[in-house]
Amino acid sequence: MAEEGDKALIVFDYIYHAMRAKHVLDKAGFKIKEVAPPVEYRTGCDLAIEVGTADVDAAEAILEENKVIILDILFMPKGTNLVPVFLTKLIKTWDYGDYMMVRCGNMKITYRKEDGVIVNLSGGG
Amino acid sequence: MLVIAGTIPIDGMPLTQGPYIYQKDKVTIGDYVLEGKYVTLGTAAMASAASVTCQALGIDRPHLVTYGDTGMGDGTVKILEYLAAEVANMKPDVLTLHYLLPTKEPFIKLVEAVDAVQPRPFFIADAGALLNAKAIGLAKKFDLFTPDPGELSFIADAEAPHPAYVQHFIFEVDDKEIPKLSAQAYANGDAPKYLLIKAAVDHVVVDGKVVGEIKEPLVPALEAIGGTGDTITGVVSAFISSGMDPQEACLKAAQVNRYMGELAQPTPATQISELIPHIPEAVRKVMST
Repeated sequence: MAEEGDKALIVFDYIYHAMRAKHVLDKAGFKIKEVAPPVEYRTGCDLAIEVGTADVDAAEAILEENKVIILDILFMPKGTNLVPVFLTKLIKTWDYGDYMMVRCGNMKITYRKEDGVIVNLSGGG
Repeated sequence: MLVIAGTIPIDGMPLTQGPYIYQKDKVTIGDYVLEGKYVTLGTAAMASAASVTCQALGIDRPHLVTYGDTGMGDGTVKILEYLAAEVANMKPDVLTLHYLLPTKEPFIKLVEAVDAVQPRPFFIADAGALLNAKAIGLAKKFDLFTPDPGELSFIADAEAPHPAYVQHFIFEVDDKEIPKLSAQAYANGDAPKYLLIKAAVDHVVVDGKVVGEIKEPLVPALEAIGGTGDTITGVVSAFISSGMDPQEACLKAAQVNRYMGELAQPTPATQISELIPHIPEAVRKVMST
């Protein structure tokens, strides 16, 4: 039987599925956390979703229902400390006058201030 | 022959390979034609820059190997498998890998196949290929990486599993961070002999040491325009394929990109497709100085 506080890690092949999983589980009211999986559990995608073990079956069912492809579900040893992903720490803005560039890590989005239209994207490598 | 490999995000595009010929608003890859916005999408931006540079230098156009991949990774695997099987027959003098999604076994097989080719091609990686090479510990199998500061932060961090999880991220490029991180990456075995770092001040690094900085002309809007890093990689690939010394090729490619910007007088809303037509004139300017 799962103990209070035990965690499971839902891992994915591709970032597309990881991001969709976050959206689906958030919307369904699950308490989740986006984390960097530990080295030994790294796969093609380095964004994973941490859920309480009591929620695993329900989370898996709702992801399947929404056609989100899960690579695996890992039950983490007690005390495993996963690194939360705080992308907001990596955000910085540049003012170009009529335009604003927002950089998050190595991704850049530039938009026109007048109407908010995105005019350039960079750093998708 | 310069061979470029990478994905283009077009759903349903089959494995496509052949000489890459750029004309404004249209490119051909063998018999395959791309038009309009697709001319500079994904790896096409880099290949277009390489193609016009090759033409300006009077050498053969690059050969592109590509596959439509909208982020699911299937195109990446097809490209890597094809190249691993064919690279010995293609005999490239320069092989540049570009937009590829993370994958391990097919990537290792390609690197092993390239290692077996005689004479060994000059091996370049940018973007996803660069990140993947570092992530699986194969940076030293390459000759040149062309990172931006974000990618440099990743290769300098031996423990980072992903570019978003680096311990130290460069926001402001100064004269201390790039030399420090370049030396760190090289010492960790996560950088090849040559690095061309694309930033507000471009840096050329050889064996972990900065050997050149390119600051002028400064065109601030270039930083906001998607694809301006891709064009440097295309230009340097073409220069090295022409027989130019790699260090000189890195210095000259960074200058070409800046002159391209100066000639186009861009705003932050300018598209990379509006810049590429200025490359031939920028190449002539750099080659004549």
